[in-house]
Amino acid sequence: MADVSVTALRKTYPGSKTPATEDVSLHVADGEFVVLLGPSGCGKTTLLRLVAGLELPDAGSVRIGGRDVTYLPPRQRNLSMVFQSYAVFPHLSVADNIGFGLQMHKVDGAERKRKVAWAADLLQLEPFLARYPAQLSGGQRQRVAVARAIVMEPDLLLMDEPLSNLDALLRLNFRAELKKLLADLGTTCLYVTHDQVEALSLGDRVAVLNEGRIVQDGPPLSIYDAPVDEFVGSFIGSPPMNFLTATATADGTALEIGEQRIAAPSTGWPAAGPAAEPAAGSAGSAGSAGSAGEPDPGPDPGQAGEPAGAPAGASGPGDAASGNGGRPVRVGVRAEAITPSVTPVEGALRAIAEVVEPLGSSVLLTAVLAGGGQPLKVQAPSDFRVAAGADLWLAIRPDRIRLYDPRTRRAIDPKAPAQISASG
Amino acid sequence: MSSAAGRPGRLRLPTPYLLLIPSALTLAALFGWPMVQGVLAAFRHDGGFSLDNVHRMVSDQRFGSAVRNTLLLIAVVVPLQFVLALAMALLLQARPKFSGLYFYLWAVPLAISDLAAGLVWLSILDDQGYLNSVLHRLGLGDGYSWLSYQHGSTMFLAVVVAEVWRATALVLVILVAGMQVIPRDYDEAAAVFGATFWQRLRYVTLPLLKPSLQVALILRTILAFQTFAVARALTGDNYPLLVGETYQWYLDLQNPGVASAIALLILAISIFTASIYLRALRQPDAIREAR
Amino acid sequence: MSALAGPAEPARPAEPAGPAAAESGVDRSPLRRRRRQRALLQLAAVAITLFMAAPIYLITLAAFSSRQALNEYPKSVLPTDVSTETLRGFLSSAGIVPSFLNSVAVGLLAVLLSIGLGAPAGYAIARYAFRGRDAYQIVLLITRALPVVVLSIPLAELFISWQLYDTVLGIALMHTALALPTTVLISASVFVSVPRDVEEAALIFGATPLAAFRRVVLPIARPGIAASAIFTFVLSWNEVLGAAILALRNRTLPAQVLGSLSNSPLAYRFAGGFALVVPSLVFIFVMRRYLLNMWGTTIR
Repeated sequence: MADVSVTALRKTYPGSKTPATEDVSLHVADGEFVVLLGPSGCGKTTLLRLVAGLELPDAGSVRIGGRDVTYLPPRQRNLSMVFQSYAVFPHLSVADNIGFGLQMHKVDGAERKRKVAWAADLLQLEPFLARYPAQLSGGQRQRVAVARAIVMEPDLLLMDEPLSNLDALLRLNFRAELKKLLADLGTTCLYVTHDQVEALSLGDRVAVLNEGRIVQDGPPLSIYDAPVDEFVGSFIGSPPMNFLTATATADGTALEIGEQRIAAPSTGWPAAGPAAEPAAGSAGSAGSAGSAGEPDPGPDPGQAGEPAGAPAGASGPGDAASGNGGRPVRVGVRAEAITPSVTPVEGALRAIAEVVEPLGSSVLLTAVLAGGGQPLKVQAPSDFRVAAGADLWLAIRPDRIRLYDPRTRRAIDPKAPAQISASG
Repeated sequence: MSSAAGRPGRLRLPTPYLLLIPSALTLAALFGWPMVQGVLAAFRHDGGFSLDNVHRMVSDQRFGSAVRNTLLLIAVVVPLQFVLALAMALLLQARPKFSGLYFYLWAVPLAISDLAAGLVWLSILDDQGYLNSVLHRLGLGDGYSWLSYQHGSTMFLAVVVAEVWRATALVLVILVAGMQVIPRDYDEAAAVFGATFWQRLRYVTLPLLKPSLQVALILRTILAFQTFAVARALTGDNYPLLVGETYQWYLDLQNPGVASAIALLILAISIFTASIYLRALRQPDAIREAR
Repeated sequence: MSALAGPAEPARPAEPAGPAAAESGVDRSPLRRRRRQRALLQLAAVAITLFMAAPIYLITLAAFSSRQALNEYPKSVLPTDVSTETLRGFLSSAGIVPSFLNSVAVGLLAVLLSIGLGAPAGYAIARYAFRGRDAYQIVLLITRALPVVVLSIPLAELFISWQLYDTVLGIALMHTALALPTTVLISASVFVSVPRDVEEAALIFGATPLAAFRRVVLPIARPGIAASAIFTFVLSWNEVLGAAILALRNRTLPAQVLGSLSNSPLAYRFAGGFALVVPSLVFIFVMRRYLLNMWGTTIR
């Protein structure tokens, strides 16, 4: 078991103008399970391959267990890998496949047999040890690939979208099995996927990548609740986070969306000074450490606001939002944070239900705001009934709103978890 | 796939058979029938069944050396070519700069006939050829008679070199095609799990190349049995080979019977060798089942 | 071409200049080792290329040397005395030009016949499942591996009785027989690579099967079929033994050269070698993209 330190890694493939990864730094603690998540082409697989030694970086370094492995060939890095295509050798039996790494490292026969049996047992492969991959199903071959990787008891386990070739039901079951297995083994793990559900479910931490950079890095729930920019917000969560164009009022108490107006979040605005409530008057930098780099919208340095998620109204609605008068913002709110109603509700947004999709466990509504026409996805309870084209009132709790700068698309809220920057 | 009945209502004869028949007939007429005749002709003399041809074939003084030379040639040339072609294929795989150009240049001999290859190397190995010229200029003596009848071993080597030069391209192309089909993942997985280059070659690449190796071996060996024009060009009559003998018996000695006997012998050896290869390189069903 | 050896090979990084290299304790020695290995690989590749290319250069040199230069010893490895007299002498030798024309005629005829007979069979194998499909393919593979020598003698006897002996048609027929199995197999793989959906779409939108074939399948398959045609032509062009046995007076070029080998001067032989090699170079150049498809076909 070891920790992994990636520092300022840069890699441009020959013949390509843009770098595949650009100044990427990441630290995985010993025993931690970190998921690299992002759309295709974002550089997550490149990063994994750089750690594995299947590609060599142009700049930067990779350290495993404190040892510099940046330019070492894969076999000297003491790691294991599960490939997306499994790469289970077709000409070897299951037992020989699992024991392949041990054989390459010249582990003697009896010891090898024992370890292979142990790994096969963990993945329920004993009945198949004498069989050949061609005689196994896709899911079974997957298990062989995993068994082959864990039997090595490596410092680091790498996985490149191992579940993506399985069908939906298998994927669900195996995901749970994998999580338990890896937790029991306690291996340091770096896992690549484009499936955000997988990422949220499996990782101790999730690093979201886009266009060769790590955009946000943190525990799954904080990625989900406090996306650092619109990209993360719309990539994570199904349906993606809604983003509405709005204007914050001069006194910061309300948000004007089209012709309508809703209460602004009370938290998370760097206060402008005298208008701030005494409760929020403690000096000092706002928010958690590492908020360096967040664009500071207000003219004054941030003062302590309340932590995100604090009960709304603990301080007056006006305190934190002051000092940002009349500025355009983007309102980010998740579909499940909106409560729809067919009867008028005070302070809610009026909209028209365009499409109603009953999904069984919930009802997904596509609503269009009245007077402005911005679309929204709303997740309603499964017993919610509304006709297409009917009026809707959408109540949004201010504390579930995240605000984003329309120009940079980044969160204005200094409570947003810091993006991992240069130091590991 | 459309059923064997073809499209309903169009033709009475199932379409695939219709498309197939011309070629099948041609092959039967130009291949099948003559083969049968050829086998029979070996045992026909003066209108009846006889082993006369076989006797004459075996008792000819050049026969022994022809057989020996042919077998020796194959035993040396084929392994040499395979090692060379494998090395070349692996070299290309490492993708050095200009690998595309190298591949094209290395594949050029594919289109060169064995006669041309012989003539090409004649210009080099002749008594006054380029090799001796270079050696002379380098002060390394007055030239050696590589192709002379008296120097049996260098005659043999000359044919070996010319054949290796010419026919390695065939094996190379088959191997490269075979390697391309092997997914890169297997090699990467082996590397991650600790295999050195040689281990990867032995435990992953070569086993997965077995089908290609098999095809290449069979094709190349059978073609090697027919080495003929190369030796003719280089050594004239002085290096007897089986096919060369066939040619002589038929054209110069006007004896189709014995020529057919030798041809039959060549056929028998070819089939025998091919079946050995097929058996030795066969993959167990378990591996082949659901590829 | 996919890169397989040393997974890190294709990703050779650029060496940054001085200051950047002094990163916090990054060990670059594996990189240096790798660069040395790459240099050695290049060296090996160049050596092999020289081995392959030098003879071709030399035969070209010989063909373009004057008679005097050819009689010299030691010969110069550099083109000092360039002249076309050797080649001209060769071309004007008895029977050369006619045999050249024969080779062309035989080649073209063989191409026409083998494509005409083989392509439909390939299409049948590619598109239909029928009894005997596997057997037919196996027969083809076997015939591909059969020695020419076994075929040519009885074929000669047969042609004598059919009055095809010593004719261009006769030789072309034999070459067709030799090329047919490969043509069928290559055509089959070419047609397999044409997506069935496209053909079926054409049928749905009203085309007859023949029109669908002509307008949809053929354009896609044309390059592969063309490559197969060139392969057949090369085969026919280079074929020596059968052509020598099947014809006496109307020989193809290689057969003609072979026949006169023993009583011809060196100059003739060198020029002949060159004349036989040049078309090959052209063929390979034209075919370079299809090389792997052609010779890499194995059982499906």
